[in-house]
Amino acid sequence: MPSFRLTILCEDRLTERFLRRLCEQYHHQVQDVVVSPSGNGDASAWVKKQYAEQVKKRRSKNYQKQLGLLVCVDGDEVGYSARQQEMNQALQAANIERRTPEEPIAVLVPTWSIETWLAALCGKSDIVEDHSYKDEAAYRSQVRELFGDGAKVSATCRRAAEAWQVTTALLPSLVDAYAEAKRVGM
Amino acid sequence: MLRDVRDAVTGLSQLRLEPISSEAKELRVRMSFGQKVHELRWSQLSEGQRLLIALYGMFRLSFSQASGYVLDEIENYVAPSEIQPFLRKLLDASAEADKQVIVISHHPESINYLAADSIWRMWRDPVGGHTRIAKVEADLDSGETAYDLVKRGEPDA
Repeated sequence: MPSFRLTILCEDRLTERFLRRLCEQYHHQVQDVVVSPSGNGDASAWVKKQYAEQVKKRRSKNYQKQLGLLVCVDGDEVGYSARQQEMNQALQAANIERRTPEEPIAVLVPTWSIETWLAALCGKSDIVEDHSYKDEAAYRSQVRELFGDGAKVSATCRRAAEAWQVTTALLPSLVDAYAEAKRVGM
Repeated sequence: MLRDVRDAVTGLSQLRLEPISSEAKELRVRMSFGQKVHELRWSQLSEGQRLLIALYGMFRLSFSQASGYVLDEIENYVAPSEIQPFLRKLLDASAEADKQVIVISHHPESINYLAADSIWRMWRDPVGGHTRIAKVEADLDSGETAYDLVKRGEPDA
């Protein structure tokens, strides 16, 4: 599989850091990062709005086969399956055709959020998808040591990237993501 | 450092200090394109090449001693695609070491990339003449970027 030059589209800095680690792991070059600003409202809505634009940009350069788009949007309470549907609808709303199976455009949906995946990939047991490890205090305390400070976050992202496609005790959204990520050689 | 600069400046293969007097040395740059090798003086480089070498040099040589960084309009003379890779390296290192970075910029590339952390707009109050500052907070549901807001002169109160 040749190396890709990827544009990353995601919700926050933590997701970006993890995805860039993942790209390093697979020797892919990160060409551009489009990350949601801090602000008011729903960051997943922001990613959905940008998604159509980024797909258009990618398709305008179809002659460059090594260009890829790696999108990551939290499943939150919606779940990974419904979120994937929403992403398809975002293309439809912009009059853009859905992805073909061979197109190097991958949409990953960490559910509940990226913290859930990082905890699971770092070997934490009893990780579930139907609660937030970011916002709910009772759940946050289970993973506190993974996100204590900048150095810990960095180590967590590195460990999680190394466990990608290796960890087999999987969350459903991670199973879906493993298949999706193959579109961009990961 | 050289690996970072090689990634950023096409063709750069070597940096070295050449003595030009008993007291002074000049930074010389070797550029290689296939079999062709060019030895250039610092003054023969473009403004953008010099800036990239200076930025990566500053980062690699002084980062461990600095408690924070203030960067003022680093985008001058460089291509938009050359800015983000530097900011990524700097943010990763500063996050890991819990150091503070302040970037002063008018450039959409920097503003939009850094808006995931925190963006503040500063402007001169038209009546009082004093400087005002306010946090830029995008309406995420509308899909607007931080630069969209800054371009419109928001926030303005």
